[in-house]
Amino acid sequence: MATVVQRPPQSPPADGTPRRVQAVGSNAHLGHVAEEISQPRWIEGLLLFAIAAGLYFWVGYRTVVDDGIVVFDALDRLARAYMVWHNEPPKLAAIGFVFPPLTTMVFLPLTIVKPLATSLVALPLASSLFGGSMVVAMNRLLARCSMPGLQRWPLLAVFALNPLLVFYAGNGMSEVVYLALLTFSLYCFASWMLTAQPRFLIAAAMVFSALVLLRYSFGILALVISVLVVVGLSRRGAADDEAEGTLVTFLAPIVYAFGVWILFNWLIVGDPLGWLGGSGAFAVNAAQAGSTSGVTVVDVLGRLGELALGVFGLGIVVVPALIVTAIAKRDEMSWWLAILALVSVAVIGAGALIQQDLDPLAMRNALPVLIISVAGAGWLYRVLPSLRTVIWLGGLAGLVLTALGSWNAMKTYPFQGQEQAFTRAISSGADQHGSNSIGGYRVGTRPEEQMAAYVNAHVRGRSTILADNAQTFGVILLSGRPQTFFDRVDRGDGRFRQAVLRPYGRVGYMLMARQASGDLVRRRYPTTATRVAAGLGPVFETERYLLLKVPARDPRRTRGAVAAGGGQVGGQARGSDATPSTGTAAP
Amino acid sequence: MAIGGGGEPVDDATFYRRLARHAGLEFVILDEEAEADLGFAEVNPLAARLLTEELCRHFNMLPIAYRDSVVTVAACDPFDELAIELATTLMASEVELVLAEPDDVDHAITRTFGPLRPPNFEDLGPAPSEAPRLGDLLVAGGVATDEQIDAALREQRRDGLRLGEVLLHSGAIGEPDLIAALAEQLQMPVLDLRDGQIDADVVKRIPEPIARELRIAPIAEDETTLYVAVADVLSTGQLEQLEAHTDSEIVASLAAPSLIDEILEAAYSGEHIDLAINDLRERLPESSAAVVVTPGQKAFLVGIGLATAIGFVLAPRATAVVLVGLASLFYLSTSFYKFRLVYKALGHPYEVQTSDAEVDALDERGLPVYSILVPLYKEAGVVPALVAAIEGLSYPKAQLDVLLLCEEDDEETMHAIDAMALPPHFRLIVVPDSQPKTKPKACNYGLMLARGEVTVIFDAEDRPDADQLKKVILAFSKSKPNVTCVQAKLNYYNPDQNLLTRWFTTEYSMWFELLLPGLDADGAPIPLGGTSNHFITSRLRELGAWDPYNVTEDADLGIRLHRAGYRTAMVDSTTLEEANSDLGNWIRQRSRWIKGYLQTYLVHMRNPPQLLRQSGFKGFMSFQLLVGGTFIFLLNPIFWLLTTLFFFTHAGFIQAMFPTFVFYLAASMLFVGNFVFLYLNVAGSIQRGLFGLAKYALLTPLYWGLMSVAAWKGAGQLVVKPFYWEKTEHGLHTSGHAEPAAPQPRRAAAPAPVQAEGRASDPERTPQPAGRS
Repeated sequence: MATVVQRPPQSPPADGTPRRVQAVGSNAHLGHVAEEISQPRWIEGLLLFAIAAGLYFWVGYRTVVDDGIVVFDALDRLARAYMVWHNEPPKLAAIGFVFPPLTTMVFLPLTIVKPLATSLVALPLASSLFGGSMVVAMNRLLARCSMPGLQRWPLLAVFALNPLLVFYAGNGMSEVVYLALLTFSLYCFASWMLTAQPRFLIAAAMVFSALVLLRYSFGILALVISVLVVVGLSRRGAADDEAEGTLVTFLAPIVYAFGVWILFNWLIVGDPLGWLGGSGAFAVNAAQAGSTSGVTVVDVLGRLGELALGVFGLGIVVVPALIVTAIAKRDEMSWWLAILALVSVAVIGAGALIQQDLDPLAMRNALPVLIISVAGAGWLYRVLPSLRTVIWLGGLAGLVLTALGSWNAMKTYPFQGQEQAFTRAISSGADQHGSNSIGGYRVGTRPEEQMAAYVNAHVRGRSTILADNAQTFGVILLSGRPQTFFDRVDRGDGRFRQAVLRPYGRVGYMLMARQASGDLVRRRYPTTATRVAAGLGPVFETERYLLLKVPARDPRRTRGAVAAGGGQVGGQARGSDATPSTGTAAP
Repeated sequence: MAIGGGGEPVDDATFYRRLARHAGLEFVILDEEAEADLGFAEVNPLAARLLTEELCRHFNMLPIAYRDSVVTVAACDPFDELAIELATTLMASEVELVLAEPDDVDHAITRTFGPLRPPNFEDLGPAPSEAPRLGDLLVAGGVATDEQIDAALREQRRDGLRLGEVLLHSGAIGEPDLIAALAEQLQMPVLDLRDGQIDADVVKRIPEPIARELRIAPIAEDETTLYVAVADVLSTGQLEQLEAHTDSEIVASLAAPSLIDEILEAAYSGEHIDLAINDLRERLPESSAAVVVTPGQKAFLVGIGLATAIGFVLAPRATAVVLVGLASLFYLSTSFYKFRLVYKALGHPYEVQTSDAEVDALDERGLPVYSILVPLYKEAGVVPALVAAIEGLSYPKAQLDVLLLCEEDDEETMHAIDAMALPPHFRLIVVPDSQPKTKPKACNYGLMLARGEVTVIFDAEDRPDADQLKKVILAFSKSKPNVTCVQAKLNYYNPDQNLLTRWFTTEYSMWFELLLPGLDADGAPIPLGGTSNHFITSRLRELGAWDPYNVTEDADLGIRLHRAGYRTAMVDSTTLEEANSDLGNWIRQRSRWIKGYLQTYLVHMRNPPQLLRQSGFKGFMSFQLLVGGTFIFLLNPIFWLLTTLFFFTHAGFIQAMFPTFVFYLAASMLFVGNFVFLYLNVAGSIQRGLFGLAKYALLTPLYWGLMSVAAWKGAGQLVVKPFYWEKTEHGLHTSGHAEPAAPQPRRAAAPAPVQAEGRASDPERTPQPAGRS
């Protein structure tokens, strides 16, 4: 039995004056040992981690590596992390400046070892490690809520086996990373509420600084929490300087994280706030859908309802219960959890309305609400001791129903990222390469593998293939030779765009994504006619990519010049000469 | 009875009236039945017991009153000089003689002591119940009131001390009063040593440790006898031992303990000062900073310098990359280590926990004597506050041994102390003028005179928690036997004075609230703070105490203590000090600290394998990262310059110095490590409850800039003036910069220079012992 320190009585003095801290400080505010709460032993945490991470990795490996259900956002991040180490020259700037940087940086330790990345094993491996951590953090959170092990573990099992969580805990997406951190931050907040020990607030602040660099919208939650902190302290009669110091402690790492990110964008990209308007979608394997128009509040509410049933069904009961408890028992943490859940839902809906796009209503975006709901159930268990059995049974049933709802939603809900393919793979065990999944996705990485194999077999030299790495990352990663490509990371966007305009003598080839409208190479040479006019001859193509040979001189200036090389379609060579004429023509 | 002569016989009364008139004395009647007669004097029974019955009967005299330190003695013979001298000596008071009839005196003696009894050789001397009690004697003498005696008796029951000590240390009575009363009670003569010149050779007839333990001082000798001043009666065993040792008969007389101390100090000051300066250097030369760099170290440093120079000539880029890479790795390791220590300490109270209830329950009767060393130099102005702070300590005063260590040339401070007429648990110790004039030398000197089982250092401006000493006693009792030092936390009482004091406070909060407890938990060597480190005195002496040549002798001692197999524990008690509020003053103070850390690093790295063996791997690494981490302050400006240059110029040579892995290391340090450091200060402030300082902690990168300025100053001094003690001015929080609280300008008053080993002197700059925080 470990002891915890109990927050000293917080009620203001009888005369109504605020509680003051000693002028020269003391650590008396840290409270005293007042009660004992069972905390999981490290061995329990280690076992849970091993079991959960092992399960997630196994499922992830099967579905990602074997069955080809690769989410291309994750593939892009992995490719960037790979380039951080193995590009020539290696560049930290490869992490990109649009999407949150930590989504890439979590892969950095794994991509030091090349095969882990090029075999895609790093995707399930990274996710499963964070998935295991999420389960351990939830275990600690429930323990902090006084839930004994025998009640905790069944609840954890149902939670951990939620199919949506299993999918994201094995596919390399950053969702499981922030879910793990969010769970840990909730544990820290609950502990801070119970013990008043600053270390929990400090840990929560550090975690939130990471969260905002994993998903910018967590900044909104941070602001909400700041308000809750100040209001809570004021209600408890804390002095102004205590409220101010606490707020500084919580916000400092978050503001710093944003500040550094803004500085980087300013120094490197030249646009300090460019990341705010950028898109994080890199679904090269999906049909390029136009933006939705005319999204109404009714549409959004309807979809949110579907998300509630499909992702966070438990929250439908827990959030109202938290609000009732908060009012009836004047319980601060209940307020916190209810407000955080509601704000999380509101952020999703507001995002869709503001962007006039229903993509923000993707299933994965609602996962934080599921975490908050489970934490809420645990907290209710703590603060309503007379109803513990009912809450536990209700929580268990709610999680089972939520899991079932998720399974169904994954099969049918329109805004998703290959969840449907995942359910098919789990149900049938069948290879999903080449199959379709809701959202216009073509599952698998065969086209990337084919192009990478061709490049490895036929192209030599450094910075030979001009490619927009934001669209051709799959090929670059699977080739394992980023040094072969002249991309936007190597010399920056400016040099890259110059090379796109005048590739002659600079590169031997161009690689473009055939359907990705965002591909800068494709934008410059969108049609066969423009390519022919530029003297670019197709060398090899796959379902998604086209490799073009670039002549040494601009044919439009050199009359009579003939574009070299033939063409190949469907993964077949279209000419015999696949050797670039300017194989080493790096700028 | 008629006493006849040649003329008309006269009765006794008439005769003695005439005799009194003849001798110019007052005649008194002591007969209680003649109360209404002219000249009747009432006998004060307590005053009457100021002399023993035997003496009174033998000389037929009796003390009858005590007023204003004058004892009125009624006698029959106005010309008995022996009787008058004995009475004066034994009562240690002025005697006013009055004349009375012999029968009157005799009856008064009988009324006081009872009828004359036949001698009983089996019951020689007064029975305990019949012996005059000290309290009675003091009240009878008008020295103390009944209320004071009652209060002292109550305290005596609590702390188990002797009544006289309680009264003395509470200030109710003075030392001469107590000695006089004791002399009367113990039937011992009293020596007045105030003006006597004692031969040092005689004093040294008894070895100093024995003399100090028994608090005795030989004062004279003849062929067979050694006359000894004692503060208390010696037991038969002690007397026999002394006689055996000196081969002389010992004749003991009572004397004021403070005078005995002065005699001993005067006799031994030369030896003490020599030991204070040279003991460590001669006994453990490898641990002394008297030599800054050993020949081996010189060779190593020259080798490294040469290799670097050759590297820059042959392969400049590779050399730069290696240096930058090593520096980045060092940065990262230091940051990670500090973060780890702090994070551990955030979660767990690693200090030895002592509750208020435990402190209250402590049996004061078992508390040891506690020596408090307070080095002072030209700090007369802070003496009253210092005395008040020490008097505020919850510890039996008689068990306190406060040594106010003043330099011989600091007459102002000494006068201030003298003028306060402090109670006897304060001792003014004059440190003989000698070089180096440093705080550790003064402390070493004081340590030799310390009587306590436990010794602590406080600075002049310190305000320790009232229960700190008791908490330390509890901490020692709860700690492992090898814990030799208990370090209390330091913090500041003037954090809100200005931005500098706010930064300083956040830094100290992090250091003492988190980092040192983290080191404690790790079992790593703790660089001790400047004050409030409480030692087991005997072990401190065994270790060679403080290095007078090291300007952060405290940090050095912490490492030495660890290497010797001892440990330091932290206790959750705080001493408040004055945060330095003046930038120039702060730079001077910090440059000394950093120079001292560099000295300490060089001293303990003279034999790295030995350090590794003695400290263990963890301790060795901790030393490298924490004490060696001082070098970071020297490196910082270089890296800041490179970063700034690169941002503005994108200079290729800078890029070349940071190949991929080195760049990633450096970048993570720049953006993550620096923030972590900064945030640790926020954490320290919050942990301490100093919420208002959190926002100022965010500005600490500016503070690091100041630290680097101080670091380069300190490093420069290490080369040119290694033992120069940068004086820190105190008292700025009360009176502001323009008018320091100290009565004299300190820097201007700096006396002669310190230069060990015959170095050239610098009259303007002298290491000064006190005022260090």
